[in-house]
Amino acid sequence: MIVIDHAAKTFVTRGGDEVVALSDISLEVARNEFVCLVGPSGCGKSTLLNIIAGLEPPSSGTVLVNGIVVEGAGADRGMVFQEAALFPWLNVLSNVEFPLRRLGIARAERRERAQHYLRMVHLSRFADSYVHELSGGMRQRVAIARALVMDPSVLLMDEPFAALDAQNRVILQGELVRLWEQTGKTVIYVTHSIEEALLMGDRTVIMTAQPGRIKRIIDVPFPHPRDLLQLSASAEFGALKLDIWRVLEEEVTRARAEAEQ
Amino acid sequence: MSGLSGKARERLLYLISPIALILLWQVLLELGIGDRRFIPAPSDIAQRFVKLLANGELEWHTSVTLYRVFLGYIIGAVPAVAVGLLMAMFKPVRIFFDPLIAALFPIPKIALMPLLLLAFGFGDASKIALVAIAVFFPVIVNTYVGAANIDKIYWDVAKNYGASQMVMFTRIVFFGALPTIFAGLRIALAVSFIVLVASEFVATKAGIGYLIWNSWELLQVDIMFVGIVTIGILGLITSALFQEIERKVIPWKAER
Repeated sequence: MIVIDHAAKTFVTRGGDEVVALSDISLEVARNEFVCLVGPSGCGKSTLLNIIAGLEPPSSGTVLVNGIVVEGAGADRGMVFQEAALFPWLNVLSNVEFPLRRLGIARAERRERAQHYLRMVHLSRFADSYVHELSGGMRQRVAIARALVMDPSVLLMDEPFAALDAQNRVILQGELVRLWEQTGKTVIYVTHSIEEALLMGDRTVIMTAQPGRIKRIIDVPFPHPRDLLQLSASAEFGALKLDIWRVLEEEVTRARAEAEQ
Repeated sequence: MSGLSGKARERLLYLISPIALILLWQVLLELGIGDRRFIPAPSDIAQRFVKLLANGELEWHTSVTLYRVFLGYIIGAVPAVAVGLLMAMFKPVRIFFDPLIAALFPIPKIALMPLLLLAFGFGDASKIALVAIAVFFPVIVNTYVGAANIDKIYWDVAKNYGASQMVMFTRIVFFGALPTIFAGLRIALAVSFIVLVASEFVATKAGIGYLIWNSWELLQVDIMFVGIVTIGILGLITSALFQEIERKVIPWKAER
């Protein structure tokens, strides 16, 4: 379980101005829950994810993961970055193995575990390939395997499919939901697409920009296992989407008006 | 040329400009333009080249020069890569070395030769030391720049997956900087020949540089040219070898 308790993040710009990226965020994410963070660019959703990952400290407030205060990166949290961020100088298998290095696991077992997760994302045939030989979708699947290889309880994903073409995105969304249904991880998934959030998550946290705040939390009523394609075509889904867009539209208009002042 | 593959055609094109230059040179001298005593024709140089090969003289000087280049290169390049990487990883190391590099890099390394002769004597050691010093700077600067410019995302990923300093060093910083390190190593290779040949002009009785300088003093211009051509050939061979090594060592660099 993840507890975010009054977390805030302030940056100081070069000019010495303070920018509030996140303001007083409190959120609880239950074990095995799939939560999506949605919001316009600059709303601090990636910053929040980095704070949970332990890549940046919050300016104030705390984050607890399974009862332990986050003070740095940990093996209990696997992260999938936006551009896959695989090491181009390592082959696919070595990339997936990478997180296991610090655990002092023997090479043979490292390989075996990496292979297991590569099979899970249907890429075992590409173990020896280099990253530049893979398509964008394959790269993200490798990145997911890398995040899973330590068997973390939490999977943190920062717009992992944003750079993919529409077809690949749909395929990977389906695969991810299936993986999640199989493995029972807690997933925090950052996206700027409401549709993606509603399609995949149990809950959608809508954030607003400047300062980054939680605007609204929506319980997504659709049961699992989900057929994403069928769901996306259903009337209930369309209605929910429209509803949320209305909320956001108002927010975007307000932000724009403020920015112009 | 339609029967040739693209690769073979490229290779052929590669040879056109040097061959054309040599032909032009030969033709001009055959026509009596230029004094053959001072500017020997390519055919004269080739003859002398073969003669010097036959009596073993050229092999001897080449081996001496290669030995000095090789040792000096290794002695200069290895610590340069190590320190360059450490500079990128640890700020104190960077702050310590930055002013030293800034001050010492622009000094023409050949100007250190008298000093090195004092320190290391007239043997191979002074030449090897000179090559090492000359190689050190381009390699360290390239290594540092390469390591410092590794995309932030890779540091983040490594940090996120709890990489130790050791893993960071051997798996991220080193490999990430490797393409730029290689660029530095290639520059250093040329530099090492440049300074070594110049240093062999004085205080030695062996090496291609000595061969060139000695034949100048005896006005054996054709031997001088043999020395110059030999250096060119050595440069060509080592650079080609280097490219092969680079292809093996950096397989993730997409095919050009």
